[in-house]
Amino acid sequence: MILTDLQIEGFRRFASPVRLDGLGPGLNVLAAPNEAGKSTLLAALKAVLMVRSSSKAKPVKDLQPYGGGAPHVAVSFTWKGMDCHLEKQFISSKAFTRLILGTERFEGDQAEEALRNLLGLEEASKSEAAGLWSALLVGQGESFAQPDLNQTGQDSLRSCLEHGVDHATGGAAASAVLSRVRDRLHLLQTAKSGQPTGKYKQALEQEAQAQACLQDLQNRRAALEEDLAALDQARRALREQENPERKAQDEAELLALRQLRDKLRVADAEEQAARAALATVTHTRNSLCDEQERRQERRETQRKLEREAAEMQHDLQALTQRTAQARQRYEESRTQREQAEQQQQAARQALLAVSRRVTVLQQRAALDRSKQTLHRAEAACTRLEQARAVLAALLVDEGLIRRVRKAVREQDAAQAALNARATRLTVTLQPEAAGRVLLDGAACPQGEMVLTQAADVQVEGIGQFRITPAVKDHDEALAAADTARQQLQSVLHSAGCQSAEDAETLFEERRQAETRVAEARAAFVASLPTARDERDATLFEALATLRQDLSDQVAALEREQAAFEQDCQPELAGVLGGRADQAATETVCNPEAEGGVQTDQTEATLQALQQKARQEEEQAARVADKARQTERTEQAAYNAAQNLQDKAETALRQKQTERDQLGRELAVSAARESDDALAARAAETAQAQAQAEAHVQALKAGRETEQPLSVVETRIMRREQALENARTSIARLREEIKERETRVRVAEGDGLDEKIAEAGRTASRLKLDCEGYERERAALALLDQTLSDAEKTQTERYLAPLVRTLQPAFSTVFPGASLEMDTGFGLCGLTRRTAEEFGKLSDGTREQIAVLVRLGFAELLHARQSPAILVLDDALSFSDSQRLELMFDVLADAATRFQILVLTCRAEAFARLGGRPLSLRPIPQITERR
Amino acid sequence: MKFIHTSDWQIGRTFRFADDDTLGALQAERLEAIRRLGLLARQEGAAHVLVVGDVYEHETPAERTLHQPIERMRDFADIQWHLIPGNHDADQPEGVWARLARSGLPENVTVHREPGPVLIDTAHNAWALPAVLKRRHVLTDLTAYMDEAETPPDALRIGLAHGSVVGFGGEVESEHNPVALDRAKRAGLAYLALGDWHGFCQIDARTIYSGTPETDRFTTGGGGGGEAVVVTLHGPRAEPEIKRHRTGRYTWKKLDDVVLTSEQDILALDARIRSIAPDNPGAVLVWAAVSGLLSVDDMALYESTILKRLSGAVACLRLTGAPQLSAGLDDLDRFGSGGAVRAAAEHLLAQSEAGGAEGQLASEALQRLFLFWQEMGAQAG
Repeated sequence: MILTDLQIEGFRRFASPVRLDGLGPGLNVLAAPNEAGKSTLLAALKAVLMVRSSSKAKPVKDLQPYGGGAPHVAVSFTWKGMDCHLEKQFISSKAFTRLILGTERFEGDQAEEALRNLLGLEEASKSEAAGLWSALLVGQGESFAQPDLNQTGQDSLRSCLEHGVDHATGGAAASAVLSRVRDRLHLLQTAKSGQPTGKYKQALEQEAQAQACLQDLQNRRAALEEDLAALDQARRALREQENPERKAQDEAELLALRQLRDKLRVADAEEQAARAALATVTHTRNSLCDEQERRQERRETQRKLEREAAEMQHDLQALTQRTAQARQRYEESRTQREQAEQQQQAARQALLAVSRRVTVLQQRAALDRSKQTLHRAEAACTRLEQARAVLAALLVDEGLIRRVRKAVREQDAAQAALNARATRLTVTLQPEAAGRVLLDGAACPQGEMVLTQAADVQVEGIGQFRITPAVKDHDEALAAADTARQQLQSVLHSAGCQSAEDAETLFEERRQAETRVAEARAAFVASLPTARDERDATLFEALATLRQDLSDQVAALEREQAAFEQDCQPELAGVLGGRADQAATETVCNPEAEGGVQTDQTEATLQALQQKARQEEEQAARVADKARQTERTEQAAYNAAQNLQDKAETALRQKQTERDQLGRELAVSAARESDDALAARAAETAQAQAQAEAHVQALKAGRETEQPLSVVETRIMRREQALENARTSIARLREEIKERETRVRVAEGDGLDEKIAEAGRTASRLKLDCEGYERERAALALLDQTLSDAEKTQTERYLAPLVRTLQPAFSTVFPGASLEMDTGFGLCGLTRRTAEEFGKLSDGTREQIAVLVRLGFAELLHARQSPAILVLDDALSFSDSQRLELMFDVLADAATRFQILVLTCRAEAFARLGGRPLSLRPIPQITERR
Repeated sequence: MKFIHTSDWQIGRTFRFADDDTLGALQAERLEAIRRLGLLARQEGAAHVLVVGDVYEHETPAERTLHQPIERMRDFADIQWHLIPGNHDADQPEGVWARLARSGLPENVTVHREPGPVLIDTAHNAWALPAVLKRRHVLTDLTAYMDEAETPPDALRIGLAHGSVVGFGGEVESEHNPVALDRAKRAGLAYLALGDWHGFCQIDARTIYSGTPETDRFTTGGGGGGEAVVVTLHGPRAEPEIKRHRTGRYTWKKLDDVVLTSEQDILALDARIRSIAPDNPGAVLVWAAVSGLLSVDDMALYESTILKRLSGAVACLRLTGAPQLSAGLDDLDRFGSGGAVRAAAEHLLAQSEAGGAEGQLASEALQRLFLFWQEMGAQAG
């Protein structure tokens, strides 16, 4: 179907006729500003296609222009190659519909009917048809939502879709039945949780209540029955208890029993008395016998004790003797021990004295050695000092001799230098001439001479010759030689020598003296026991120390000697006196008296003495030990003997005490009653006992046939108890009967049986009701389930082609997306990477989807070769440029198959869409086709 | 001497199957029967009504129930009412009779609570010999004493007992409260009025069960109940003259094994029930055990004819069982040759054919689907 012309008049803002220019196949775009009348145009198109011209409903009235008038629309289109024309006028008395389909022409209702058939519309109300077309003519703002299809719309779609499937789906019918089923089902169970509701719930509750009530009634009935049974029982028991004959009989029996009891009690008392008398006599007799026996026994014991005491006395004497002997032995051993200890002490003293003497002797020897050392040291010292004195007298030491030697060398050097420059004078004299020739006044030597100074040679006889050496710097050389000589002279003088040779000699001597000093010093050092070859001062100090030590030692020795003599002399003399020879004693006592000659001998003697003294001391110690041992043994023996004696004495005393006690007791007993009197009394008592026994036996024999009193008393008690119990029981039974009766009276008026029957009836009826409801509910639920499943299956089958139809366009705009549709032909979700709910998508996306879905519907209609166009008014306003571009592609593609009208106020944005530009043009009047 | 013999009033009885209205009506009618008995006595010129046991249904009726029959009897001061305890209202220490004795009885009502001859009609020298149940069940024959019971010469000895005649019915029940088959003969009774059986039953010329005056169950043996016996004694040895008289208002009917397979069956059932009391179907109680297979249309007919219309016509229509839906693939054509509803119906049909509890449920669901479809069709049409 292609719209080719649209003219309107008297429509809202278009009071005057206008025409939409430029309509043709494919994409048609009307770009016009707001309030240009685009929406009115769409409203007119909707009205002409879907509203009966006869309608006077409010929506139609709303189409009128502001000043009033009759809306008038004429639309031309081609359909299956036919030129068609549709024209409607609303509201006015001239309202009409006219439809020309090629050669066919319809007017009025016929035209409306033909139009509906053509467009696949159905009556939605009296005036308006509805169907898929409402989804295709998309008004402003409608494009945001998915098309809300009414039943007709859905049916249209279904019929489009069912075209492709094997069977007619009957989806609409299923929906209708399902809604009825659900209406009924939801009277019985809730839609959400499937819990019982309404009458069913009420019936269930009532049934539970009725059962509870029934149970309660039955419980009460059971209680009543129990009461009735108990009441019957109680009444019977009461009758039994209250029987007067039985009571009288019981009382008579009781009386007889009481009389019997009294009689028995008297006899009993008599027997008791006899038994008591017998018991008294028996007791007296027994005590008398006891007394006799006791006395006899005591006497025997006394005798026995006396015997024992005598034996013990004897033993004690022997023990005392033994103790005395032991004591004596102990005393003796003690004395011996003391003596031995004294001897040991003496021996030790002697040993000590000898030892001290030996020490003194040793000290003295050491002192002698020290003295010798000192003497040697002092001698060495003297020698050293002498050597030193000699050395000190020799002045020419190393330094001086070096100076002398230097001065000689210098003088020689100066002389040599003078000589070298001096004039040589060689003199050879005739032997006769000797003495005649004088040089400088002295006989002239022969040979060559060196003249350093003017020399005068006199020859006797001849005259005098003066030779003056022509020496250069003669004077300096001469001076130097002079100085050197003077120097030498000075040095020599200081050395105390006449010449250099003297000096050498003296030096040699000094060297020898030095050697001697060194020797003396070495000797001195050697003589000192402690000193090393150190400084002299140290050595002399060592000597002084030595000297001091010696004097100290002497003093110490003196003191030791004095002390020794004071301390040891007597003991030593005492100890040694008896046995040692006098010489030894002397030696020991006065070592000095002998002098040094006998020292060695003395020492040997002392050694022997010391050895002897030690042996004696050891001997004495052994003796003392032995004595102590003996003493201890004796002491132990003595103590043991003493102990035994003490014990024997104690035992003896005890026996004696016992014996005395018994004696006293016997005396007291005898004083109280003599033995004879006691025996007499015992005989009397025995006789009395025999009599009493006979009496008791007689009484006992008399009572053997009687009932025991205790049995009779128990029986009486039992009877009395029974009577008392009966009284209590009667009272209790009466009480119980009264109580039960009251309860029964209260309960019986209630008519429990009737109530139980009634409650049972109610409960069973309610149970039946519930079962009925449950059956109904189950059947409806099953029906609901089955229908839903069937509808779903069918829907899925016919939705497949719709999804197939929509998919290409969707893939263009949302690459990679797959879509999901629900049974109401709504898109319920979009799956790109994850499933997304439609409602949660952005406004822009939702609008694009809504447009695509409508496009799909149009595609379906077109595919079924039904008339289809799509009109979009101000759609895609939320799309970004990229999406818009994609949507343009989709629209352009679809427009190759069916006509699309785009009405927009966004001329620039939609310029890229291309298509046929449309425009609104006023026309003088609508071109009517008749 | 003339008297009315009745028994088993069972005042206070409830009926489980009945709805509240019906129950009330049935209970009211039981009381109303007493009035009819009194009127009958007057009409027949009988001075005495012998009620032989089970005046009350329960051992402990409510106060109102207790006094309702007494007050009805009080209304007939010219009639002497003689009552004995039955197994339902045995004379127990705290039983109904003790309660009534405590509250006092009308002059014209006598409750016989001790066995032994009692002079009830001086003019006719008529002596009642009641057998008195002290418990619900006894194993001894309480009428045995009648053999030895002494009455003046030529007295009319009328036995009153509630129990089962031994060796007559052969039921288990007869073990309790036995009555010797030949008691009337052995005790020289002019008449032995028996209670306990709810339908009229004549054991011999002098031994008779009157039955209940108002029927109270679908399965009453004997005469079916709803009547009383008018007895005329012409002398101690003369055979009593027996006349049965209808006193019941409601007709109880049990229809076993009603099989419905066609429209004719349904209409026949309707006609059968309506014909029970054509002039007063409102006094008819019916218990029908229904089964069978019905087509979709017949099922709809059954629903409308029996379940709706007939139920309203009678006092009580008690149905056990129900006809099953017999649907075939042909029936499913109503839903069209395809589509979701048809698919659902096919599914349910397959399920119902599988049988069992689930099959039953599926069948019911299918039945409803037909109904809904029909309703929608009716609306659309």
